[in-house]
Parts: sequence; structure tokens; C-alpha cells
Amino acid sequence: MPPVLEVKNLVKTFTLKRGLFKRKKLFAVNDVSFSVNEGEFFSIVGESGSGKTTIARLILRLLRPDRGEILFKGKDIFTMKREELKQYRKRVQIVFQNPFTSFNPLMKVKNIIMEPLEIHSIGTRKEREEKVKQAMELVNLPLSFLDRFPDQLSGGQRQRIGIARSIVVNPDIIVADEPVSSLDVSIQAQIVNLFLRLHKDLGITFIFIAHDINLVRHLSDRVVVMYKGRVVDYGETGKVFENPESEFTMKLIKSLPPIEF
Amino acid sequence: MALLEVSGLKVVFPQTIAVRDVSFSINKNERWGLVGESGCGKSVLSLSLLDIVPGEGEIVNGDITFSGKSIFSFSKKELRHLRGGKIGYVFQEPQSAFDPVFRVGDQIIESLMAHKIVKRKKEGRMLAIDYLKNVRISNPEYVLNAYPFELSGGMAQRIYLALVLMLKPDLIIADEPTTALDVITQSEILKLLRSIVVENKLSLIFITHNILLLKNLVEKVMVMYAGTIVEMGNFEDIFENPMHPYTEGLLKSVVIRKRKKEFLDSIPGNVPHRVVEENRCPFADRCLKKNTICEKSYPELKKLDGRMVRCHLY
Repeated sequence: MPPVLEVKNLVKTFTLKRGLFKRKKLFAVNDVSFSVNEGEFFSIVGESGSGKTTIARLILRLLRPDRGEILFKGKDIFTMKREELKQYRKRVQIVFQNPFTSFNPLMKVKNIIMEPLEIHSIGTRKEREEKVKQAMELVNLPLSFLDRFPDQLSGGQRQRIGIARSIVVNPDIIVADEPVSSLDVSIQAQIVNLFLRLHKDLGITFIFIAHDINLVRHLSDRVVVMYKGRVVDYGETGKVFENPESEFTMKLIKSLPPIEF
Repeated sequence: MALLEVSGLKVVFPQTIAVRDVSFSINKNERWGLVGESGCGKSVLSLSLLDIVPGEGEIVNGDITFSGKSIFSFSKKELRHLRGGKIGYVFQEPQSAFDPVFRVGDQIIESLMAHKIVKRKKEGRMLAIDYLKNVRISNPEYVLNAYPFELSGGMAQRIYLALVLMLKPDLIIADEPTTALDVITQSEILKLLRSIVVENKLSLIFITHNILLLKNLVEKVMVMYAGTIVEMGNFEDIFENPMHPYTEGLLKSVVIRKRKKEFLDSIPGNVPHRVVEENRCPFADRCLKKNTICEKSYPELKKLDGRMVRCHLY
């Protein structure tokens, strides 16, 4: 499988303190390289503050890097303009961590899911409605929810809506940033199963960002482990977790529950 | 005599029944886990043990005794001593357990003096330094002069544990103390907590939504769903062989024993957030082993093979 997304020597810094003479920089992402193959389930693992979310935002081009590039099918996304960029943003979708803050509370479910279709001018009004219904069925939500508002739904149901919104434009890649960590344990498995089905049936490439190693191990083909903005382990999931190169990954695995006291 | 005994406890809120028909007893030196999802009543239950009910909640039924005396008959002074002095409470967010505008050291000393552990500030400071070393804080002097925002999550939780310990409680209630922490820090805090409890011969109630954290940490466990206990007994027995369908589903969603990319066993439906008193099993809507009787009557907590199960299957 050819790489669909290549991240090359990516660097992103944030300025912490700005004074007349002093400037403190935080290297959120420091010389990170990896590639994601077409149709694979790829995971990014790391602790809080390791730069996972910054990478997600760079991939979506919500941020610009200080150095380095991200190639989508061979083309640098940071040189893309207007129409090309719009096309890219259709091909790559995101599912956010917290389904309680990622929707406009004044929009009905049907409008939330339809919005991407309107932005990308896909289909007629009727075709759009049809696509919205299809997306609802794919994520196992009853059509009666279409006229509801997000606050009338539970966390799991809301996350399904976030997923419906991302798949309605037939993307190549879904970036999922900690999509189950704010859900209850018994609901997490439902959402994971939904991701697996979309991955298996629709062949969508996943970039899954998580800190739950057990889950990442179960789901992903390949993985990068990040620590303080750098990649410390990278490769096939089995190899990385059975025979890690870095001390950090080793420590991470040893700390997984159940803990040996 | 049991250290803590809860019988027939019921706590209601205007919209929901938070705790319903809960009875259990904890002995000295016993470590318990309390497992449940959001809204199952685990936090309301544990706060009730200190006679604290948040918001418009009300304890309408049942009794709680500590060392043989009902806490509802405690005087204000006795209650103040119970909260912290007899039962230490560790919160989920370590940084927000401290007041942000005062130095950590001053807050620790204030608690020590309020509980009459020390008489003078200087004494308190010395004691604090000792205890901070015990929870493996390498620079206690610096920490005492720091404000809470200067501490990392793991550090704040260590310091809070030291404070709880300084008040010499008989029981520690830890309400999801590691949920806000990273995996590596989590394992360090759990190891510390376990050694503190074992060395000082304390009792423990560890509240969590992740049953895996309890392995090797506790001896006994109770599983809560919709405000009530659905299964209770020895941890290892329940972990290896869950009897209630909810416990079984909960275990399957965290312990993955599947081939790669295989679909997980999930519990269908949603977590209930409003519980009303009905004459049916509260888990019936989501249960994969549902029978006709489950819709018709509320199951009793039955004793079975050394454990308690609230299910019509048995």
C-alpha cells in the first residue's frame, strides 16, 4: 500500500513568554516523521502534553508548522490554495474528543450532519437529505433523532453524530482525537466497534489518537509513540509493544493496569 | 465489629434516586473497590458516608455507623472530626482539591491545626516535611512554599495523600484519584496508595470506573448500577467469574481477549442518568440475558457462593 499521508521532519513551536529580550519556546512537535498507508488503522500514542493533538491540528491544517511538511498523496498540504485546499479538507475529516463541546447547541442533528455537504456543495437538497439519512444508519442512530438538539442526547449518541458528520462527505482519512476517552466504559466498546466497521467495510484510513494502549494494540496496524514532542517508537503495533526501542514505551507498558504491585 | 456499616441507605434528588437500597460493611484493614459508570451513584454514596449530600439531595432512609455509632447522631464537632480525622477523602482532581490562592504549606498546616494534630505552625511544618518525604517528594521545603498551580498532577496527588495521612484516619476513600493522571503517574500513585494503606493498617474504598485498576489493589469489590449494588464479594472471584450480566459486560469492555481488530463485546444502550423507582430490574433494558420476569419485578440482593448478586438469573 502506498502512503496516503507522509509527515516529514515536522516542527511546531509555541511561544510561552514574550518579553522584550526573553522568549521561551515550547517544542510541541519536534522533528516528527512518519507515514500513514492507505486503508490502514494508524495510531498515535502518548501522554498528555506529548504533542498528539498538535499533530492532529497540523494534519488538518488548522495550524502551520515552523518547519517540515505533510504530503497528502505526494502533495504538500501547506502549499495548497483555495480549491485544492478545500478538496483536501473534504478528504480528511476529524472526530473530536469531547462530544459535549464539539457541536453548535442551537443546530439540530440533521443540520449538524448536513453542514459539511453544504460547505462542499455536494448534491441537491434532496440528495443531501438522503446522504444524511444514510450516515445516520451507518452510525446506528434512529432517524427520529434528526430533529433533536445535541443536548437531548447522551454522550455515546453525540459521539455517533460526530462520526456521522465526518463520514457524510466520504473522506479518505478520519483523524479521531481521543474519541472514546470522555465516554463511559460500557459505551466505549460500542464506539470502537463502529470505528472498526467503518474501517473494514468502507476502507477508511484511520489516524487514531489515544492514550489507552490496550485499545490501540487491539485496533491498529502501525503506531507511533510520542514523548515530549518527539517520536520515540514507530512501527508495526506488535513489534513496538513487544520489543520497544525506547525506555519510555517500556515504562508505559509496565504501567498499564492491571498493575503488579 | 465492623469499622463502617451501611444499611438500607437511600439518597434521593428531586429528579432521580441516586442511591437505593445499599447495604455493606467494611472491616478494619480491609481494602474495597467500588466500580460503576457516571451517574451510578458512586460519588453520592461515598460522600454520604461523611454525611455530605451535595445539592438538593437528601438521605431519606437507612443508617451509617462508624465504629458502632450512627453518624447521624454525631454532634457537629464529632462530624468535623469524622471528616478527615476518621475518614480521609482523596478527590479526583488533585489540583482543585487545594485552594488556589494559598500556599500548599499553609493549607496543610491549617488542616493539621484544625484537627489538633499540632499546636504550633512550626511543629506542623516539621511534620509536613516528614510526611512529604514519605510520599517521595524530593524537595519538601520548596513544595510547601509553592502554590497549587505550580505542581504537576501527580505531585499534587502525592501531597494530598500525605495530608490525608497526617490526620491519621482509619479509612481512606479515594474517589477516582488517578483518572486525571497519565498512565505512568497513575501506576506510581496506586503503588504509593497501596503501600500507605497496607503499612498503616488502614481500610480503603477505591472508587473507579475501570475495574482493571482494582486488580491486586483490593480484596473486595462492589459493582454499582443505577444507584444500587448489583454484585459484591471477593474481587478475584468476581473478576474471574462475574455473575451479574452487567459486571460481565463491564469486564469484557476493558479486558480485551480478542483477536486483532475483532469486534468487541459491548453492552447495548445508554447509561441511565435518571433513576425512578420501578418494579423491574434497572439493567433490563440493556441486558443480553433478559427474561420476562426482569420486566416485572425488582430483583433482591441474593447471597450466592460467598457473594451477593442482584439478578433474576439466580
